[in-house]
Amino acid sequence: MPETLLRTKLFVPPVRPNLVPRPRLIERLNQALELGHKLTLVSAPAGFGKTTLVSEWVTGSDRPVAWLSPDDGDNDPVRFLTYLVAALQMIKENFAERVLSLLQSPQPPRTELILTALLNEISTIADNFVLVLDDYHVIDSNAVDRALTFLLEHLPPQMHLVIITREDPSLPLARYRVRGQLSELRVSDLRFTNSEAAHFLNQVMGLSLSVENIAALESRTEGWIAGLQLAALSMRGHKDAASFIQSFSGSHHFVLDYLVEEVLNQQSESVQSFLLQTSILDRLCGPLCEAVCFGKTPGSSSGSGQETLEYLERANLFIVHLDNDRRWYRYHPLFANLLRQRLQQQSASTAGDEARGVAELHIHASGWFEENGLELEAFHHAAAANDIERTERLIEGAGVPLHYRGAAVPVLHWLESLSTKVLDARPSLWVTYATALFFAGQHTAVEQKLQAAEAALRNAEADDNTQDLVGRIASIRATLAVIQHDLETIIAQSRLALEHLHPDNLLFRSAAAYTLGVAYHLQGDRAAASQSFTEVLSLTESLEDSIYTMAAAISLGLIQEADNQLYLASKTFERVLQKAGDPLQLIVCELFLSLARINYQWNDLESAQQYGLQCAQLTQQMESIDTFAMYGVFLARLRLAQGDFQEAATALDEAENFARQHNFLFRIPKVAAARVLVLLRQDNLTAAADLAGQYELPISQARVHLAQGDPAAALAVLGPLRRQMEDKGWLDEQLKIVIQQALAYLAHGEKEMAVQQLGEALNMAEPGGFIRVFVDEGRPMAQLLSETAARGIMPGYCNKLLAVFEAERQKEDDIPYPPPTQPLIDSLTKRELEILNLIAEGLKNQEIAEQLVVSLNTVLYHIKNIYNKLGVNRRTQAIAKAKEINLI
Amino acid sequence: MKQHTFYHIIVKDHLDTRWQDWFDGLTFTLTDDGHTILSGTIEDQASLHGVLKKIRNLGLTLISVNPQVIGE
Repeated sequence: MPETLLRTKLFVPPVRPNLVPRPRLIERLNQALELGHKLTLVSAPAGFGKTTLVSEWVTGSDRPVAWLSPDDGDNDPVRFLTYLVAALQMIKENFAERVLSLLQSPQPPRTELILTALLNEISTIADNFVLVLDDYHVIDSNAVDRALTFLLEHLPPQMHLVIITREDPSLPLARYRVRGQLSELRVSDLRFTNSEAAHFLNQVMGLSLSVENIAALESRTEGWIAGLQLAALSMRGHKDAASFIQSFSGSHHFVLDYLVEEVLNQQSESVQSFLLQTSILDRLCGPLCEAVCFGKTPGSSSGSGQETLEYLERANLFIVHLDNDRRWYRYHPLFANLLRQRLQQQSASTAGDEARGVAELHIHASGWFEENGLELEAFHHAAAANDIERTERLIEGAGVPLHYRGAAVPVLHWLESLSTKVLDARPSLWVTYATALFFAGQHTAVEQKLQAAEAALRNAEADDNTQDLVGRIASIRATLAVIQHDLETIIAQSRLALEHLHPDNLLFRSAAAYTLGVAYHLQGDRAAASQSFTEVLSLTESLEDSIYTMAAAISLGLIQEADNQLYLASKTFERVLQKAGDPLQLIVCELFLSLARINYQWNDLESAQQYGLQCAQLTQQMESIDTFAMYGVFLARLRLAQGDFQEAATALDEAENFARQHNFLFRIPKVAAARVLVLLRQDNLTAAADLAGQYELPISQARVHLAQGDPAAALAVLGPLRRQMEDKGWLDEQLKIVIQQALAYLAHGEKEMAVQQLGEALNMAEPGGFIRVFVDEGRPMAQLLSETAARGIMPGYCNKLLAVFEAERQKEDDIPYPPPTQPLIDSLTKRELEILNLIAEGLKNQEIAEQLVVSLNTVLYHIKNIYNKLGVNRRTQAIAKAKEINLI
Repeated sequence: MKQHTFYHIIVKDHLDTRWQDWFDGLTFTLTDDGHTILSGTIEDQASLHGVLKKIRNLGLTLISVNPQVIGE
């Protein structure tokens, strides 16, 4: 459930009629594009017409423009990038939906991965375009600055970035200046010249001032446009402009102080109080203003709010409309600041019954935003009002709390601002604190907050609420333990959670049921795991797209696959994919891998390869999951089936490297088992035997014994193993064992036993439609299948399998090696070809960077693209592939 | 690590004393040459930057920031 986006942040501020023409500055902005600069920086204090200038420029420009005015909630890189993508969608519909879904998943991948995906998407935009970031000074986050730096470093040529800010951003500006990639407009450029001031005062503001008076004003305000505007507004009420200007120019007073007083005093009392009270809002619309000023409920709008806003706009009172319907407005930030200061002072000085507290205004605003579905804004105002109960309720939301939906950072900021005393009085806040930390990825800080919650709960009554909190605490601990693969803790804490959680707390109950299922699954208790996952699915029926629903459904499908129920698993996955929609969530990569294995078993190698690729693409975007290792195992099986031993070995090398690098050591035996298959096909019995012994892989050992011509030894291993697997109820392992037993009996000369065992295997495998599990065993299996069919045991299935054997044999006769299916290769850019040639010449990355005079990062970025396009993962493969298709 | 420091922050022009609340109770002194000195203890770097940000947001011209560690 993506948080409702405030579209007004994405509108280009409309250009007001009657602007002072500034051709010299427009020209400078155009030049930046002509010179091919990456970045234009418009940096000056408040009130110098920065936004007005840029919006006028882009409105008159041919280039498509994306506009984003971030607010301080966007200091979280994930939120910032979400809005950035939303802004780019204003120029290209459905732009980067995949990136958006990455950003909106509860635990988004590393920012760098998101940025790379985003850059790739940007490079698909056909036209040159401009992205404007207005008010960038509200961003006070290293993470966002770093993200922007990364974007700029790799910026595709069709994009030009304009940053409007009151302070220079933390970007490597000096470097951009030296490289000639930066254009700048600063205060000395932006201040009104004498003639601009004259045009503004006399033509725009309708005064008729003498040349001397204008010069005096211009010099007193130093060309500061906001100051000139206030001065002009003040003078409208003065009969004698000249004496006003004299007193003003002579004073040492802060221009704003002096003028704002004058301007406000000219407004009616009701307009004055409207201005002050609505100054707490970042964005204003009529009904919202009425709610704030009069505590009106939505729907009872009298239209007076809208009227006042329109009056303010006509009166030039530092208000701009944000959309063309004139529904949303905002005050000039400088003016809003002045109003807020006065509001604060007023409510402090008139403390008493009459004073409308600022807090009350925030509560009204919060209420309006809540009614209108803008939950994050409602939360912000509740927090500003210091209404803890309300704020907490808004965080919890109707079904899924705010911090589960990408707003962990603002929630954390609020919690950090509260004193320990306040938190202790509401232990539920400690629990929220822990959850928000978890979703913000700060896993190590979670336990401390949970302990604080428990300490605070010691004095609480043992009512339903307390019980529920105890349950939540346990559920969070279980989730933490999942990351550490700590089975005992997962099970104990999940059970504790389910005992204590309120029956209506579906979100936490499903989380606990899910973690319990994960633990059972890891333990190998598939029946119990399957039961837990089914429970999650029934619990979350009423919760829309909870992350647990999808995770549980996928886990259930994996168990069905392991139970040899391939058709059922495939159906389960189909349902998940329908619900997952497009773009896909990252957790779907396990699903694709399973579908790849299933289609492999059905001997549909093409589909298997396609599903495998989809899995590989998704795993590239995730860091800490083990799927890539298991993908390598699948790929090796596929390559073996295609007769390409070398590729199979390479896939396993990569899988093993990955598992070692990322500490997924528990996956290495699986890789070793696949490697034994490759070695046996290469007749390397010694290495196969060593490996099977080293990792204690019983089925592999049995295979080695068979290959060594010692079927008795194989049978000795398989017998006890089969009983073990029967006890565990692991049907996939049983099928593999029975097949090996059949082959061992055959080799041992016990044909009747062999046929009987194979009959059992066929019985187990037929409902799932297995093919490759038999065909991969080669000629002895074909012989045994003929014998079995001849005895009238499942002749239909046997003949179907034998037909596949026949097709395989013919294929081998036709061509010694089947050609690997050739994926379509995207054309490489000139730069990528250049780099590919340098790689082929044997240059190291750093050497390439030096030769091309670019950064190492840029080289790595290009290489990554080259690998992607060629469908390879290593330099040597890239070179081989490039030669194969005559690229170099 | 926390070290309260006394600061003198000088900005251009005379600033009305009613801004004192806005600047977290710093004392205002108006000088004859048309500047305002904001002085008082500022808890840490974060709150110093907060004050500077307020100065920036009001479009005030910053002249100087001078710390004076208490106890010296």
